[in-house]
Amino acid sequence: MPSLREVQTGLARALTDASAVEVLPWVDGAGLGPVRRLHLYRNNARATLAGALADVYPVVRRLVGDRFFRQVADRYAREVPSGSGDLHAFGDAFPELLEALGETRELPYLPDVARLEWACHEVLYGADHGPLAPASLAWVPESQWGLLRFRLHPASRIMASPYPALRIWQVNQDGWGGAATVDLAEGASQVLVVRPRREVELWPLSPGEHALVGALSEGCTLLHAMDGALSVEPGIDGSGSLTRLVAGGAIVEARL
Amino acid sequence: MAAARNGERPGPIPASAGIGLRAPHYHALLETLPPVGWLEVHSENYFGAGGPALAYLEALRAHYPLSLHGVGLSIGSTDPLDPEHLTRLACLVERFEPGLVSEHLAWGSVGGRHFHDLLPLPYTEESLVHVTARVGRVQDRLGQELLLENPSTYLRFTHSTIPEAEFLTEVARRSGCGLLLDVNNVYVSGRNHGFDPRTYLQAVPADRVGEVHLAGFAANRHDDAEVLIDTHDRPVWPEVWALYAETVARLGPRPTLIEWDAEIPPLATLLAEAGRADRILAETRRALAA
Repeated sequence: MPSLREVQTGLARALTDASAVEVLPWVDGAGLGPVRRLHLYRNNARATLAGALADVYPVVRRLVGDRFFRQVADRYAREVPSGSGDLHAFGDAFPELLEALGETRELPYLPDVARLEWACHEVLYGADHGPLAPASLAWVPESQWGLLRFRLHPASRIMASPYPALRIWQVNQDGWGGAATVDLAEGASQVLVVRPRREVELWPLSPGEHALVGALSEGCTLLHAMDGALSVEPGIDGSGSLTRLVAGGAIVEARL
Repeated sequence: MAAARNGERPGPIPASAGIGLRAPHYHALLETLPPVGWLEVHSENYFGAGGPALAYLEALRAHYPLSLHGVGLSIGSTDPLDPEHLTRLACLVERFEPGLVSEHLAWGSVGGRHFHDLLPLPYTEESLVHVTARVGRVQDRLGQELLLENPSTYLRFTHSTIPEAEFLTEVARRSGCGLLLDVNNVYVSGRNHGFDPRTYLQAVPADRVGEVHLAGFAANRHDDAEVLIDTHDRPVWPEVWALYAETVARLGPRPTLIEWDAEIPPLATLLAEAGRADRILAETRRALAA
């Protein structure tokens, strides 16, 4: 008689590899053979994982089509097993698989669109936080502002792409009423994905703003972060950007 | 439905019909606050640190009793219990003060790999000892009784020696847990394995059953054979309603959940199903009083 451990590892192998046979003699075949009974479970598990990826990556699915998406999703589920009982944690490395695929070379922006979708997914479930209290800056003398360090909203991610990933994401949203095509010549895009209120927001950033937010999120002082932003984008209105980040709720804490 | 007063939350789960709370209904429920007895959620859907799902649940919790129903703890697995999963569940219990907390007699992971499915156990003495110990650990961690649900199964193991109803009864007796009796699952498994669901239902100890589940299934034909799949994507079938009426006549009225997790219908459809369960519960009460 197999141990419980043997049954579970055997069944797990049969779920991931249809040619695994060790579990077959342990399965009661009355009415329907063991192979077909295992097939039912294999299909259920596959559909659940592919469904979870389709929920997180609707734009990627729309761009590559249903059938190809299902193929890639199945491959992902085989190669990058879910490591948590929380299905929301599944799918983080999907952009890397898309990047490695030969078939999607004609859609070079696809991995970045996927990264943007994963960022939205993480931000949707990230911690809530209120805006920066104005009083928390009132006591800082102006001469010390350069030494301030900021904390970004816990539900926020930034990303940059050499492609217009944000525009591609936008035109593929349900209910989008604008032009349905994106000219790849629009070039690079930078995005802050943040949830200062109930819903996820996508803020387009200039290259300098992206550098600014990136440096602030790493704990750099405002002075250092501004220097970095200016070197990327000499014309940047740094104080305007900072005001927008604070007023919009993307920056939630300041300290000296 | 008990209305929220002075910030007090509605308390225990009443012996009436409840519905599974799913995202498409958040807004409509909050706007209309229909008179449904209670709500149940999949615990793992609220494992995030924040976000709209938790905010809606918080708002709805002020108006309805709540039950937490887990699908990912993998109680039957031979892997160690995931301490992070348990911690998140414990945090939800602390925050939302659910009237009931439940999980499945099943496993979903081994060797660290999660299948996100309710996989069947061989019903042996080894499994019984294992599941009993795990249920005990979960109850200790949560400081709360757990209800264990009978799963729908599509295969059985040749070395199983204990009928499922007896297995559940014994886990409940040894661990002190309660049972969540899914009448649809009994029907589905009965048809899939050729046993009489009535024999199964009569073997379940009435005093252990803290909740009943009802849902719809799909029938898949495979050439010469038919397999029922527990899809939760349609109304409860007439034969399951009939079994349900017989079951509550024996058990007495119990909190009864309408589960509908895929192809989610308008809220009104779900409430109509709950209304049907409530009418059966009312008839049961009248019959018991007579």
